[in-house]
Amino acid sequence: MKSIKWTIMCLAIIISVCGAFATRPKFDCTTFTQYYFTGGGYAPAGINGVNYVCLQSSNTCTYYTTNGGISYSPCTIGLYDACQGCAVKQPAPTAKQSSITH
Amino acid sequence: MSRRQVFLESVSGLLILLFLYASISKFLDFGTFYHDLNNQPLPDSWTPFLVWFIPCTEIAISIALLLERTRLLGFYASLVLMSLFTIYAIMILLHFFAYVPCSCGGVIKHLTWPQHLALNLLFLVLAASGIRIQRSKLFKQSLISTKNSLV
Repeated sequence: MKSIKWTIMCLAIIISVCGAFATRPKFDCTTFTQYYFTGGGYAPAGINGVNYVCLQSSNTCTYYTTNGGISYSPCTIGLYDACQGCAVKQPAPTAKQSSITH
Repeated sequence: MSRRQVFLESVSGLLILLFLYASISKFLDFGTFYHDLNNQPLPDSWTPFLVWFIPCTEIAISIALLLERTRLLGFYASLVLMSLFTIYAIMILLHFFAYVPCSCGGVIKHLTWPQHLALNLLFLVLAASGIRIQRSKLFKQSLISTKNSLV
C-alpha cells in the first residue's frame, strides 16, 4: 500500500521538477538591443536583415548589454556588415518614373 | 490498497504535480513572473507580496498533500486556492477588468483563458473529491480507534 503511495508521489515530484526545467524559457540575447563594435566603442546595430547582416565568420557579429552599457557581451557570431547583403535594397529610379513623380 | 485509496493518492499526486510545476516555473522565470503580475489588473503595490506569496503557498500545499497528517488541510487549501483562481478566470472572461491580461506559469501560459478556466474547474472538482474521500477515511479510522478503545 505504501509503495503505491510513494510511487505516485515520487512520480508527481519528478515530473513536475523535470517538466518545469524542460519548459523554462531559454535565454535569447537577440531580444535585447544589438550593438556592434566600432573599434573604439559600441553603437546600436539596428534591425538584422534591414540595417545589417552577419556574414559567415567565427568573429562576434553583435553584442548586447544588460546593465545600460557598462559592459557588453557577445551575442551573434559572424562578421558585422552594415550594408552588403541587406534584405531590402532600394531600386534605382528609372528616367520614366522620375518624370511621373516630378 | 482499495480503488478509493488509489484514487485518493492519484488526486493528491495530480494536485502536487500542478502546484509544484507552477511554483518551480515561476521561480525559474522570476523576472517574467514579476512582469506578468504587474500586467494583471491588480494594484502594482501588491506585486512584491504576491510574487513570493503565490509560489510559496503552492509549495506549502504540495508538502501538506504529501504528508498523511496534513493531507486534509492540503486538500482544503487546494480548494481555496483553485476557487480563487477560478473566480479570477471567470471575472476576466466576463470582462470585469478593463483589459484581458496574460495567464502565467510555465507551459500553462500558452492556454487561453477559457482553457485556463476548464483546467481550474477540473482541479477544483479533484480537490473537492479529495476532501470527501479523505474525510470519510478519517471518519472510518476514528470509528475503528473508538471501537478498539471501548473493547
